[in-house]
Amino acid sequence: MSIFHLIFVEYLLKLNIPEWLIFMLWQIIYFIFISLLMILAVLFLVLFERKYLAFFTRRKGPNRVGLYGCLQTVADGIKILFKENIMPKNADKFIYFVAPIIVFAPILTVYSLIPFSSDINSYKSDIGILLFMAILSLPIAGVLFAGYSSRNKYSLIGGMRSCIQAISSEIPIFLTLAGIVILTGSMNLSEIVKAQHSFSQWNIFPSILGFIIFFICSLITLNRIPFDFPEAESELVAGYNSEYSGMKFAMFFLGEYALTFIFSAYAATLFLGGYNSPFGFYIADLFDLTLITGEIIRNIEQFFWLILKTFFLILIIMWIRAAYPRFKTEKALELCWYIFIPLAIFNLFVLCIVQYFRGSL
Amino acid sequence: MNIILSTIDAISNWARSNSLWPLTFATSCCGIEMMSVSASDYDIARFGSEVFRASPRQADLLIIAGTITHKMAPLLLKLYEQMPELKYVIAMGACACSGGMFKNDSYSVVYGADKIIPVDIYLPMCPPKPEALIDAIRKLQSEIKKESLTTRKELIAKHKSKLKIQDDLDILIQEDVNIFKMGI
Amino acid sequence: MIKSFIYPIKELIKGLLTVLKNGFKEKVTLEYPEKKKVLNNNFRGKIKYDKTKCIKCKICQKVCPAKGTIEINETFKIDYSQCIFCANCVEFCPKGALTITKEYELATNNKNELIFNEGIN
Repeated sequence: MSIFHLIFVEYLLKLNIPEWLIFMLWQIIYFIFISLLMILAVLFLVLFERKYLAFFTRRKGPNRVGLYGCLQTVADGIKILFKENIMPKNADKFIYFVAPIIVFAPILTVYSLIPFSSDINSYKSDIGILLFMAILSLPIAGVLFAGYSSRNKYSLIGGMRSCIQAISSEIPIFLTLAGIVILTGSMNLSEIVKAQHSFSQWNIFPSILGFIIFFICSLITLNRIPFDFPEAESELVAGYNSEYSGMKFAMFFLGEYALTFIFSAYAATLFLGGYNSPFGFYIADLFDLTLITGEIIRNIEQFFWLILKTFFLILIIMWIRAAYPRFKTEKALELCWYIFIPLAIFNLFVLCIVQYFRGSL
Repeated sequence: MNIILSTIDAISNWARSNSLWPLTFATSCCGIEMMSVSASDYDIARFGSEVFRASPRQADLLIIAGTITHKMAPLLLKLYEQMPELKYVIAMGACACSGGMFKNDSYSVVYGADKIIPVDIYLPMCPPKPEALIDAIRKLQSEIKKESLTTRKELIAKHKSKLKIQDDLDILIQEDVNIFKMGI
Repeated sequence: MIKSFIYPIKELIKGLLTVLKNGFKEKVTLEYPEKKKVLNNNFRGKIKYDKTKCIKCKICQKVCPAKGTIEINETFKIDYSQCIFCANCVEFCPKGALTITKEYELATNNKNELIFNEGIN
């Protein structure tokens, strides 16, 4: 049981609130926390990407709206709320309406699987790794629905491309995940983080190859540049969302950024030690604190470390966006099938050998 | 009640004027100036409109950058109709404003984009400097800030395209050809 | 074989570093409405009309490449929505009644504001 849960239950039991209500309230608090985290992350990421791309091209980026342009994404969001929602005349109406929800809901669900600190982890599943990838294959169905239901050839091709990409990139991802399971002996995400307690124990050191494969394949799954074929502006107008406007478009747009954030957090959890401090100790441990305040400060610190690692990965993703032009579709698929799958299997062998010697030591 | 309405007005006007997403639509040389506006020297991103959307469904601002020929006119009309409501148009360059140097002189050019769709801001010169386009966008922003939600219906009615069907376009073409013949 | 594998990776990293190096250089953006670029002397902006010098010879109307931009009847009329700012009229004016200015911010929401009309002596 987490320390926050204990404090919460103790406080509410004093007020004579029944236990089942406390249980429900606790879930609601988690939900609010996760949605707040996602909305803040997305609002920040969109602005951050615009500023960051401006940095690389020697521009200034948004700086007129609010202080240094900090309210730019807020303005964008409010504007999208006031926009008209257009539904194409020949669209498959139900599927057209449902597609953005199918894209958005699984991403929100997946946020609950990541251990943000040793106590902030709403769902400790024993098959966390698999569940994460399984839930994240649902948005691709949503994208395909969006492409099909708008009755637009560009949308359809965009949706198909997204689907093909996701299938071919997920196989190397799963092979690298198998490597992680071999190293840590568990599929539970919080167990995996606990196994990487010190800097030298981080999974990235034995499986650097696996990390690179995971990173590039996640770029392909996320439809980020240089693998953004589903939204290639010069070939398909805007890809699968070219018939979507207003709030429905915003859901696709935000979903993409939320997915970028959560994939980076996932990679940080698996390879970069999760919420563990790279120095091996926490500031909370240095002072003589009571049990509860010490735990709370330590949790905040762990949360900070995870966010820092996540942002490090996001920085690299956006850096790649600023530098590279778009791939060809079939070249990216060749990359997945002919290069990454053999490499991932090789990586698996290496990890087996590493684990064998580790066990004997 | 008035206070609530005016605050909502202020918020929506602030949001809409500060995130004008233009449509990637350039028919000729003014397009080059439009591109340089989003490049490093002038950087339209400062005003939050560097998000050039390829799909008209997600755009708010149509910058008509270049000559509109009779062959392009139906496509321009279609693109404009596909944009969601509260859309704005900037006619960039002399050709889009009135036909420019092709006026009274050419059989293939529409004499002004405002014959097809309503135009909010006219930006003459051939082609205008990138600074002038930023100035036009700023003027459009100050126009938007005067709007109110209570008159939203009138606004939408004002932004209805002037022509509806293919036949009307044919009539327009015939008119222009007649003017051209009279010029000869 | 290994060389052909390493070469593209080297080039990719080189590309990333080039982009990063660019980021730390000085920003080139000009804050436009506050600071304006110094214009070249050859820049052709709005045309200024001096009615005391005009002799109504209509040469400017004849040399104008955009037909119907300049019209001289009772008044001197120039339609900026049509003008291509070639300054042919300025070049050919025998009395120097027309001069070029450097004004370029002509955007307006009313098309009629672009038609400049002034009486002739």
